[in-house]
Amino acid sequence: MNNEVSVSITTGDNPKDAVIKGINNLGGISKFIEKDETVFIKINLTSITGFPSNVNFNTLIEIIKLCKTAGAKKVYIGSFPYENLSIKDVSDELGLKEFLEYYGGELVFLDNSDKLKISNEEKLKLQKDSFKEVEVQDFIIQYPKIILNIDKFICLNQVNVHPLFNIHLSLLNLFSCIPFKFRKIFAKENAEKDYIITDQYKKKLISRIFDIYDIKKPNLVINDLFHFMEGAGPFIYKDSKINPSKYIVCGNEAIATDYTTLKILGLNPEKNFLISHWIEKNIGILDLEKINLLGENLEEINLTFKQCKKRIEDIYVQKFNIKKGQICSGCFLQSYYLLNFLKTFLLKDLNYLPQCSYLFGANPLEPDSPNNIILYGDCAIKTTEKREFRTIEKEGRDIKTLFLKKAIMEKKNKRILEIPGCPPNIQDTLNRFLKYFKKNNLPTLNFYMKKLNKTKKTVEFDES
Amino acid sequence: MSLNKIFKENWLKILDFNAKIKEKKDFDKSQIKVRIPVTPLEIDLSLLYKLVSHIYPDFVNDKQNVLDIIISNDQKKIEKSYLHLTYKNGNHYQVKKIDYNNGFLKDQNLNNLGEIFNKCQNNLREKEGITISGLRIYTEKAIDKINSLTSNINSVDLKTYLINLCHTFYNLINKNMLYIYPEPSFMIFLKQLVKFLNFIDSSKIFISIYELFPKFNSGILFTQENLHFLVLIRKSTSNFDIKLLDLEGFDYDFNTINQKTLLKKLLKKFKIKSIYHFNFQQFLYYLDDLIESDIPFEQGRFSFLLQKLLYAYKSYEINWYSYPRPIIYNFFIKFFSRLVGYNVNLKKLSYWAIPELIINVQNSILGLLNKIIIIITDFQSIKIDKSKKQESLKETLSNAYLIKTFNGKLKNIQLLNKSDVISENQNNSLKNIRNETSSRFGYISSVISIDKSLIKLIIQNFLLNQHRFNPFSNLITLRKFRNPLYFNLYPNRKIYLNLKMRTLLPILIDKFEF
Repeated sequence: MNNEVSVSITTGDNPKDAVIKGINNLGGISKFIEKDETVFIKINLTSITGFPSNVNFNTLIEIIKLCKTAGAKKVYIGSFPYENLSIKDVSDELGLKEFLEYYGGELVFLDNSDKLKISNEEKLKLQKDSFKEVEVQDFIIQYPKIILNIDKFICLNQVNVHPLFNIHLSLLNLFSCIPFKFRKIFAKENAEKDYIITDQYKKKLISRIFDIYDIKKPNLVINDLFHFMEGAGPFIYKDSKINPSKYIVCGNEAIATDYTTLKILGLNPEKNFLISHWIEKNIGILDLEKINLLGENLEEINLTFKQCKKRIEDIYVQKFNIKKGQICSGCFLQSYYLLNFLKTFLLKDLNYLPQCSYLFGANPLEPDSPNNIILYGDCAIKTTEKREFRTIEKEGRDIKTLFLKKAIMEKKNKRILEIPGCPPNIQDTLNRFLKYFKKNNLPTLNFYMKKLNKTKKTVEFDES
Repeated sequence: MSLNKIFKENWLKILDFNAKIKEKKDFDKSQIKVRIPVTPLEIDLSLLYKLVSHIYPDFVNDKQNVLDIIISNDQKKIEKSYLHLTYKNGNHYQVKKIDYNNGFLKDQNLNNLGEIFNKCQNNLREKEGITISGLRIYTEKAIDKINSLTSNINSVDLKTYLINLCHTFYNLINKNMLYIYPEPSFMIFLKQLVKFLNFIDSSKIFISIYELFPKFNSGILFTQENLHFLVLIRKSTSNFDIKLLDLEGFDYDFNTINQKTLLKKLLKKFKIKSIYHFNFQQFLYYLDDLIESDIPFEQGRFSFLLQKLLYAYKSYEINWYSYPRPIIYNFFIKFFSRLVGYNVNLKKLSYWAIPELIINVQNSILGLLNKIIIIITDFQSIKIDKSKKQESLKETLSNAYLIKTFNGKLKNIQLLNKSDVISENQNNSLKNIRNETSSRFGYISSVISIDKSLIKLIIQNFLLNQHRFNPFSNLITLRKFRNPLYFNLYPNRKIYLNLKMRTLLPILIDKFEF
């Protein structure tokens, strides 16, 4: 295979035609896969929801078939899902294992969630056998050995809008080669003073994304934007819709493929956090303007789409007065998901709730009333410790006068819901909501949490 | 080429009656019965007049006079033409033959009906001094179809007639045999519906729905100012019967009589099992909302229509009545169910939140682009051992539908052939069906099978027998959802299968009355 970086843009009546054309433009599947090689296809497998938060299975089936025709010995498919979900949960809900087997692929339970009834010793042994420990940013992460030892690595990425990175690029897809717990960015106990101002969360996250990308680079990258999600995305379907762009971008290099994808979508790649980081660190290594572009003419493509909201204050949630402070990308991302979840699924519950003030970030604005204040995240909790709303004045018998006279006394405000974490975990947040506002005021949330809290049990194995 | 004698005789009777109204400005009290045009349903002439006056202006046209043109099958020349003089309320009272020369339609394109309409309009204004408000163009084949539908209308049973009607209508729409200008909203709605259903022959859909209904014998009372009529609907194992009765002649004082007493009297008089009472105008408003909607429904429109329906359902004894009273509205039933932790007060039905919840859950679980297959089985059609029934989808499959959704709205429904779903060589489990059909139709996210007997039970227990206290029968029906013989789903989505009433009811029933 020559080392030229090539990217192909193709279109067709259906994803199948477009992806076949795309791979053929790059020289055909046999250019990437040789006989008796093993292949791993990294897909989007985020949750138990329907398309497009997961991969387009029509495109996936076609790629499996192509690999088989090239003589691949085994075609593995896998990914790590979102927090609190195991691969088994997703596979059972979507019927994936059997479906992929039927088409000649094999779903890999990277988290070993298919082997629940084994002893602790066996679990540890399995963990050792399945993962290799890799040091990343003074931090040990576990990387699946199956991907490291594979002959050929394909990344099939479903392109959607993303609240932080604008677009869900293949680099983000490759990031979920590792379990969710290693993808989380935590602030140190004594975080630097400028942690928020310099948005260390985002910097660390981007840096980790590239560290994971560097561990094993894909041989073939497919950005599937044949049907891509625009609007609120990627897990919020209420204010989102599918944009049938009918394009698929294939390339032999991830950065170049992502760069071209952004251009197709009318975005400036150099303003994208991931691409700009790469350009900054790798000047001279790959001239992105000299990518060998094949297929459709990039200049003639004019796609428009609706992006995610950039400001949390723009997300309207009934009964929630949003009071922002200085925030980093961690709190932005989690707040974005949380508020959109509330807005989408808890329409009825929000009618039962009293007016709330949602304070997040460091030094947030003053709440509208001392009642029902939600302090979201460590920054909001710590920086408001001495604020006036923390205490309330109440008339009562004064102890100093041996309860003979009435006086105005200061008491701790108990109408505050503190949600710790940097950033907080969504499931934990929702459980705290349920506890604070009571189940009978949140019937829909109660219903969902009964389901969600059950899935958490199956993930505990992975966490161990 | 003209309409058959039976149809004509009936039509002339109607014209004659309507013409007399113009002269006398009053109804003839003789209660002469005619058939509703093109149907075997008998009706009092005065009731027909009143119904047309209520329905026609809103759903078809609110101006006078219509021109009917019968054209040759090659659509090049006019065979015959009739001018129907109508009142503003749509009732026809006179028909006149109009002669057009053979070249009248020359160079006219039937896709541009507006131009033809204007030409006819100018011509009639000059010749007759009359303006028309509508134009209907039939091909000779259309007249053939209508003739064959109405040839034995005096003797045909309603079920056969309705199957024929659906079939005729499907042909008229699908094969461009009928043109109407301006196109009434109901026609646009029906055309969109036929297209949405992927041109599935509507008679097949009618038969499928007909078979799902158990036996019943009910009446629906529609009232409005100056209009009180009763629709008697009876379904037996083999047939189906509808009667329309004008209650004007029965001497009920509708202004003073108590609802319960009235319904009880009608129940006894017409020997029916249950009776429902609706306001006719509200019913028409809902129908109008439905017909004005684009098909497939946008999510917002679906939510609006469902909200209205649920609101009407919750407004029992405000917007609708029934006798016997639904048992769920009984105070003691409500009290005891609340006592054991189930709040089933339907007066607090969460009509405003349920549609949104359904849409959001459906969008999230199924996704914004998906295909599902629904299989209707009929276990009663075969006599095999119960244990083998699960593997017998090959014999029990009655109908299968492929339902496509895009951006959360139904895109279309496709009727599948048995061979599309069932494989001769392998085990026809839902898992295999999903895998096989995915290679043919693209990724299928779910396959659902449901038996006709279960649907019948649901209609019987939860719709028709709402007034009966039979908790065990209801529980047995609900439990059948857990029996894969009657209801099965692949992949086994836990969110559907582990629904618990205790957690679900607070979502469906409000805490307060909003």
